[in-house]
Amino acid sequence: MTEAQVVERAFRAEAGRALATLARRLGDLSLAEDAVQDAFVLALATWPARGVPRSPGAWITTVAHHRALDHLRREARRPGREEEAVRDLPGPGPPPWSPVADDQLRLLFTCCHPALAPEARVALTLRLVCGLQTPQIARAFLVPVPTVAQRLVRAKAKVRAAGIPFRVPPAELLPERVPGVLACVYLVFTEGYAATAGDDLVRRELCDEAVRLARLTAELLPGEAEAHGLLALVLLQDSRRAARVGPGGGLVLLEDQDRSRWDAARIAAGLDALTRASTGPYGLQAAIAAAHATAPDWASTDWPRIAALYGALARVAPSPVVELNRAVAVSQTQGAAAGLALLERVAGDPRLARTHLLPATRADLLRRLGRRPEAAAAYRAALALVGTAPERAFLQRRLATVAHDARLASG
Amino acid sequence: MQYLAILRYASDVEELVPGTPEFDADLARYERFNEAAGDAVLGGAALDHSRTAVTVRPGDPPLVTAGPFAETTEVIGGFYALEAADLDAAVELARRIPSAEDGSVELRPLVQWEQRVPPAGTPTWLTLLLEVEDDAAVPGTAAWDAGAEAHGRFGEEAGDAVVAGAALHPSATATTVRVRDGEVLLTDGAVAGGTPAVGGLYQLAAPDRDAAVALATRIPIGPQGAVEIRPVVTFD
Repeated sequence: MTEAQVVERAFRAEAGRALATLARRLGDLSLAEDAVQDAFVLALATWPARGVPRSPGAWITTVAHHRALDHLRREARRPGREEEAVRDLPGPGPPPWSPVADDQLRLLFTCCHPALAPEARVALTLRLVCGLQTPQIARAFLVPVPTVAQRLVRAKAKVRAAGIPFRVPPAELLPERVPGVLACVYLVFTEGYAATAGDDLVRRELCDEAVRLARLTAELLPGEAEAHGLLALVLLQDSRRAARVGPGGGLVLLEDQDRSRWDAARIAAGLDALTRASTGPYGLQAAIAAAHATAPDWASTDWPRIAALYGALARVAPSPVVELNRAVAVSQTQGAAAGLALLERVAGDPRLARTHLLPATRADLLRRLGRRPEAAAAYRAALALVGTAPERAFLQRRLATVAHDARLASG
Repeated sequence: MQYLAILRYASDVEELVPGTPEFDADLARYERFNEAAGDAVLGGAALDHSRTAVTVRPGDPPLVTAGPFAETTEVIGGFYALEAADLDAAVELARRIPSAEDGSVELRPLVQWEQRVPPAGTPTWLTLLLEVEDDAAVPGTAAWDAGAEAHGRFGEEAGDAVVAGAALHPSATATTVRVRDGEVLLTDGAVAGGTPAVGGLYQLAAPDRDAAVALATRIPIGPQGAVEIRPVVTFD
């Protein structure tokens, strides 16, 4: 790691908390963000020579606080701005030396406010809560830097002009608001894990940020069972990260993964979080991931339990993707034909029309049933829709196998 | 903070006829909202059907056409000006407006809201200011201030005819509120995205449509903009 990277990481670990505290003190998200950004520039200039301060959080908060006050004083000297700036000056009291955890929760709820577009929520959360720089977010989501920059500017302008409150919603609004926060965190994770495309290193960072966010959310909302469910889910899924990509970058199916490469510490932490989860959508998905994580191998996986968990998930969060996964689990306990029958029930669902999931699953079940020409046709249909290179390579390998077998059978 | 709530209905719903039980039931729903909201309602108006609209486009002379500015799937049926501590409080109000269940309520933060008691016995007309948004003319810029000055001159000219006036933050700050099956659904932005967008409104007192149109042609509006004039309905 270069010195700049060391500074960047140390800074990022504390920046979200410092920003959250400043935003509350100043009552202005953009001002707080600019001030923290100024502090970052100063950190880059001074930390490499002097070393990372013993308490980086306090350093950032203090420096940024001074910068914000300087900015307000400058504003106050501009004609016509006196009243506004003076009104915005923080009241007397000690400078905010120690960031407050509640501030981070406030910031998270503000960034994930339902009046913001979902992509703006994700960008704001990564920028403000996680402290990622705009180009990093742009790389992670494969969009041009100016697009992300503009998305952030608009979102912050809306927060300010529309009066999106900087607070943890009152108890009666929590059932409406918590799912939005959890969905945002999970979106960060899936973007990193189930990558639709893109650079591996950036993806890994995104997964790490999502795990950090999920941990933060569960710590800050200890009474929300689904927050623990989400933490368990991302930890358990993430535990397989190293094993799901082969030496050539190819996708390795759960079935074929080297389970000794699974991250035991993440599994343990995930199982621990699962004890505080419940039977909400995240809790159930985590329980499914746990059933895989604790199975010594594919064959001895507790398939009846997994099929039952998918059944429960289909009841609380009906979706064609859940039905598709249930069909796979059922095919393990009752055979590929039973799975295929279940699959046909979601075959016409328009929500599956644009993904490769349906034809890829059907292809696999047909292959297991020995219906090779049909399997080959389904693999071709899946290939026409697949997005990432590893998955494409996997489907092509499978297609080659069934096409070869079909030729052997007919020749 | 102050918000303008723009009430919209699907354009293909059947019009309620005064004197019918359906009309009275609808009116009662609004009365219940008004009562519950109390002081939070600063003002508002119900509009006649959008087919009674007249549109004025700038020009020399201005182009006056019958009908709304654009045929849209949702049409504006009325508005409220609301006082609320923040967006969450505004949404709490908006979700209880009947049109949130039937159509939608667009919440726009107000830059400015003014109103006075309308002259008794004179009909009033709502003029919607449809403008192509300019990112360079947002509150706090010189371009915005220039526009505000032009409106100030119009206000002086129109005098007592101006019953209410609203200047809105850009449509990017809008939040659309819908209630479906008891669940509140929020979306970022305005329903009828695209240009031009509602940038403000006046409620004008004028004895008849021609007088209202004559007043509307003097409202400062950009060359690409338009003013849609809608009769305000009174219930008494």
